[in-house]
Amino acid sequence: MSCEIWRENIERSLDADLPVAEMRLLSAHLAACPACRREQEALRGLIAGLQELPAETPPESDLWPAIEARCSKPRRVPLWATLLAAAAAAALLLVLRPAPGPRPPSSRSLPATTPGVGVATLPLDSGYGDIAGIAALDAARLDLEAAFAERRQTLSPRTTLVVEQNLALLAQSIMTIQEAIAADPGNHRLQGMLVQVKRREVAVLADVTQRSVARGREEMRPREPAGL
Amino acid sequence: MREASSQIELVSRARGGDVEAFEALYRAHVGRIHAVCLRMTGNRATAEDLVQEAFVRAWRKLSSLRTESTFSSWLLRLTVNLVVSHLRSRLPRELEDAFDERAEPGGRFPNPAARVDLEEALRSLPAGARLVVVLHDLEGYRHEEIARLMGTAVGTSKAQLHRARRLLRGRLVV
Repeated sequence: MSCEIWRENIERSLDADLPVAEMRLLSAHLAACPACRREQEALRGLIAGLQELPAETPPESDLWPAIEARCSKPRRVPLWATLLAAAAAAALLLVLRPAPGPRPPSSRSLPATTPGVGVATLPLDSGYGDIAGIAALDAARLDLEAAFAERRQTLSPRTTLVVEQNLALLAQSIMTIQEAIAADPGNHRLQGMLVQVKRREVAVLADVTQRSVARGREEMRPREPAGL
Repeated sequence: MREASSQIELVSRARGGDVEAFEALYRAHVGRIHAVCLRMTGNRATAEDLVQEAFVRAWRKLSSLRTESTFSSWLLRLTVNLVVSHLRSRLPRELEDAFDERAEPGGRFPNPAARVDLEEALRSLPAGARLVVVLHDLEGYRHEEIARLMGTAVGTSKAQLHRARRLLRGRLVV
């Protein structure tokens, strides 16, 4: 008889989710089956390994200043602060501008990384405060984040660092603007800013994905033999 | 004992609006909270955003904490709820679908011979499976609690856990 039918019960027994009667049957089977005992040990080892992972992993940067800034009494976020955050995010994107040389293909020609919303279907000209536009941008960001995660090994550590720093600042800007919108829901200018910064976030991810694709193509291209 | 009474004092002061006391609580708990956020989301930037949000919410809701001594577990629960809510809004289908095959073409990982560490293997799991295995095996949540948090059936939580462990083993075994 195949041991497959016992595997589920082995797992349930380790989770204390197996009735006593079935537990007895399992114990009898384990006494006679070395393969299932190994299975039990492997599973027990995995669960023990998970439980022994460090309980604490501090963040790479100190998050307190950003938290402290939001820990005062509830107050309206001044518009100038929001403008400053958006401007700072925009300025930082300059760091990612391509260096002179052959340009990678435009973002519109980049294939979507996963089925569904991709860069090619981005609402690049969506209106201010367009909720559908924001949802599409969020969906595109999700796809591109997955593509970035897949391809980060192909990028230089410096590029990865710059991208992550930019994304962190953009995320910070988005949170600041969202707070301002929560305090002033009818402010269309703030909603427009939110769309703008989210578009920049997608643009950063699209840019870095293009770079990794272009780099991959470059490496795949056959090289001319030496001496020709 | 002294540490516990010190924390109770810090919580009490923070409830009164003392930001310095709250910073001390942040310093004491940020490693734990960040570990949970990072393992549940698998993404460093998202995890840091959620850590910030969790502490800001904790600050704003401190007055609803009835007993100072339960601050640690209260903060952890608040964080888990926040992360699950975030993931549900971002990845509703993945969290509820017990059999998303994207991460396991042919039922196995693309490179089963790769030896990677457990943290990396956890990060590579599909969102729903990762969430359940972290809550169940690392944080000690029961399937009933996980199902309630995720808005799914208990059976879905069990299926996700089984799947997560199978994928982890496939990822770790040479």
